[in-house]
Amino acid sequence: MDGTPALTLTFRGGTIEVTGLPGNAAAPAGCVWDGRTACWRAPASAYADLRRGLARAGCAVDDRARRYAELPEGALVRRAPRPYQEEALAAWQAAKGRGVVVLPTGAGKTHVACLAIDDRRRSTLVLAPTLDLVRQWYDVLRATFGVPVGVIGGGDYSVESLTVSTYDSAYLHMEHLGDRFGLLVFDECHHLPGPAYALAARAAVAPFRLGLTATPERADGRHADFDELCGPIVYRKDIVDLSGGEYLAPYETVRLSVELGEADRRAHDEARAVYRDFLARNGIRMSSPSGWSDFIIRSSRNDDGRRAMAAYRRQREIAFAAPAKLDYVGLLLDRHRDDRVLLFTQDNATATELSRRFLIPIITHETRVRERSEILAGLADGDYGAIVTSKVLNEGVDIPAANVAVVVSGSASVREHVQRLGRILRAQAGKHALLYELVTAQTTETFTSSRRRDHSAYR
Amino acid sequence: MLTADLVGARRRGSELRLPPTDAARRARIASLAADLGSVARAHLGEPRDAVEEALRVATVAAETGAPAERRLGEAVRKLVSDELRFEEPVRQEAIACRRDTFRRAAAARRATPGAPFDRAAVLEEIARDRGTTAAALEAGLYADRPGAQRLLAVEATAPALLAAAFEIREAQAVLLRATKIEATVRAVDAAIYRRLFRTLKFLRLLPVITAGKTGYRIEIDGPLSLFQGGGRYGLQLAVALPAIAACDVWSIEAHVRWGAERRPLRFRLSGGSTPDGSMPGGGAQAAAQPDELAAFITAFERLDSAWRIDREPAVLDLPGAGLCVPDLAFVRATDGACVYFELLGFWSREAVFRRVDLVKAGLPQRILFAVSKSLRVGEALLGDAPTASLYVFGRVIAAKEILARLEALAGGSAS
Repeated sequence: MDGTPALTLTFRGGTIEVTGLPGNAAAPAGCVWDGRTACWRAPASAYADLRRGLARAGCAVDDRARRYAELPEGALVRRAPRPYQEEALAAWQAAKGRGVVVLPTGAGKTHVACLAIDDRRRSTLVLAPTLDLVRQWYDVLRATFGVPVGVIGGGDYSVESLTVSTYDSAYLHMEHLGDRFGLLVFDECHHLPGPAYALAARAAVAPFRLGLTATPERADGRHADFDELCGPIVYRKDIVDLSGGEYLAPYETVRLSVELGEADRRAHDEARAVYRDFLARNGIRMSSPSGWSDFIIRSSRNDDGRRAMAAYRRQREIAFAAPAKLDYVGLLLDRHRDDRVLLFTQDNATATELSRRFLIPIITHETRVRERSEILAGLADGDYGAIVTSKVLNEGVDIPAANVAVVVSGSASVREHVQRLGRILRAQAGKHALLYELVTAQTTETFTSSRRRDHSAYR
Repeated sequence: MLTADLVGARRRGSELRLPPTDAARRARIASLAADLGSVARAHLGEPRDAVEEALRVATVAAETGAPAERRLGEAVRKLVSDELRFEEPVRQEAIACRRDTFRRAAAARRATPGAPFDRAAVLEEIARDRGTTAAALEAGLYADRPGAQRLLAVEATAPALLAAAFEIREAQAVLLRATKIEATVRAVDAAIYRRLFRTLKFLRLLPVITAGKTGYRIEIDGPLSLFQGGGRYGLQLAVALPAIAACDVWSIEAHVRWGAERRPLRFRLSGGSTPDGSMPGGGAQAAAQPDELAAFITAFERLDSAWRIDREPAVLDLPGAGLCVPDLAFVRATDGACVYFELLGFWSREAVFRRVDLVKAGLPQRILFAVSKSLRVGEALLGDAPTASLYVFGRVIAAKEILARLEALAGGSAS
């Protein structure tokens, strides 16, 4: 330091403003000149690099950008980590507190995060994709650290040294809160590389970042953005590495093929013919990367296209909710009347139909948080033997008691299918998990099923 | 507000253009709006699912077959649908009904091992215990779904007004994908400028305002715009448009990212003020006063002092130095002394420094800046400036403190 006036770093709207540089000075690393405000500016996520660069250059810095605190106390409750959790923490520490830990559902990713918070002891923001997960994190952090925990999202807005937020709310508020946290934990971090959520990561100064997921790969290839947003994958274990009883319940997957009735088969084939004919006449190849968007665009242009879209939807509806399939769900519910069963569907209409038909609780995006909690508690306590959901329970929600899953319908997403299996894998004494997948024969669902099973957990 | 997918904008080279809204198109929009409003009114008291289906069918039936017609119909349907008011669901009753029914159904399933689940018998038994019928019980199970809520009122804008404002609505939908706007505005009434500048401030945008001979040129984006081409500020820019369009003469050139590939394009629009002087999507107007300012005004007026509040003060322009857009002016009844007041409550610390520079450059009017403590500037920043003062506030702006500062600035004599 040479006694020259200090540079000032200020957090402003998700960016760092650098003022006080002499007019002829070179641009600080990662900064661009902002003529609107006559200062150098960098995304807030560049904060740590910027500080390191200025320190190397021997610059005196008046750091007003950092408003996060060190936690006065660590964890109140310390549970011995499992060997792989210890390894995951060590790998993250070795990567200077930036990186993604990949562990299967039920393996205790949350505990790895608690270890990381305890290790760094900085104000921490945990981001989770759903309100159910926010609620779960709130409970865990409060119990582990014994301090007030803030919540942002679902109508709540309270900021504490430990705070949990939905990704959506973090996107909205990070421009004002991005200087308040030294550690960010991205739960189900495969959501992070989307354009909006990525912005929440870029608008925060936090030098330490931990991503958690069971399924890091994204169909759009954007998992490559992890390096920039929260760090590279530093540790990975898959379901097959941990299943067998000690850490994850042993499991079995059963694919059941059901046949359409005569009338449904006719209706399905007719609708499919209309759809296929439209594709052929318009030269649309669904196997090409632009096939789906071509179909969407062309089908919206005239009545012929709209008929093709309606036919496409109809044949899918028949395949997804074939009467024989729904009848089989009844048999499975009877067979597993003493188990805890989760039914998964691709759409809300089928989920509602199953709820009506078998008089079982339904959870969709329309279900309020309090009712969701009550339903999940009811399943855990045994008041309910089964619940049905479309997609909202695909991820993260902890349902230790569940031991049977029935995938009535779903997308071709490997991630979704692995996450659904993960719901029933949390280890409990004597538990043997069972996943049924119902597939309508001689429909595109057989192809969809093959695609989503392309994972080591299903081999 | 319309969404981007409901706009029939077309690319022409590097430009994005909206379909021209001529008299014939306006008449068509008004006609569609009138028809859909009538359909909605005919379904008063019916569930949302039925109302939405009726509007969808009516929209399809009204199509003339022209290629752009379907999207136009859906856009008008969206605007009409936004003005429907549905009942609040009676959630607790339905939740209790589900809880009771599903728990008892689960118990019944477990109690009969080896036998198939008898749904009808279970429903009959529960209905009997609840003093109702199985059919009524079933109907009540999902009565709180949004689709089951009944239509209470159709608070429709007059079709002609909806048609007149349609182009602005479409432009707002385009601006949802905007990263930056360059606007040129001219207005005779200073209150219109003030409303515009206040709106931009309220929306936490980062405008760079340059005074011209007859109006202003404004570049509008936000701090993060330098680093990513995404539409982080798209919603704010869209919400700001009505305040721009309220000017007597205006034009915008927006940088937008359009289509699935988010292709960078320019979007231009210009016009005079909206036909009846109204602000389509007038949320911006209503939202333009920050909460702390409204609370302060209420508290100050309770003091019953000699100072009257002018809510529409002039824009202060110091040629060559910059602009200041006060939120209020205080006028002393005894001698007409005037002190301007600007609230700097948000994130722009730089804005405070710009105001200080303006004062030091010789801004002649008396002015009091109220600056949020969160901006971390000291009151000494303005030193002993005779015409300006800086007041740093915490949670609220203290009315008595402001009164004292007004008196100090205005002194004993008239300005």
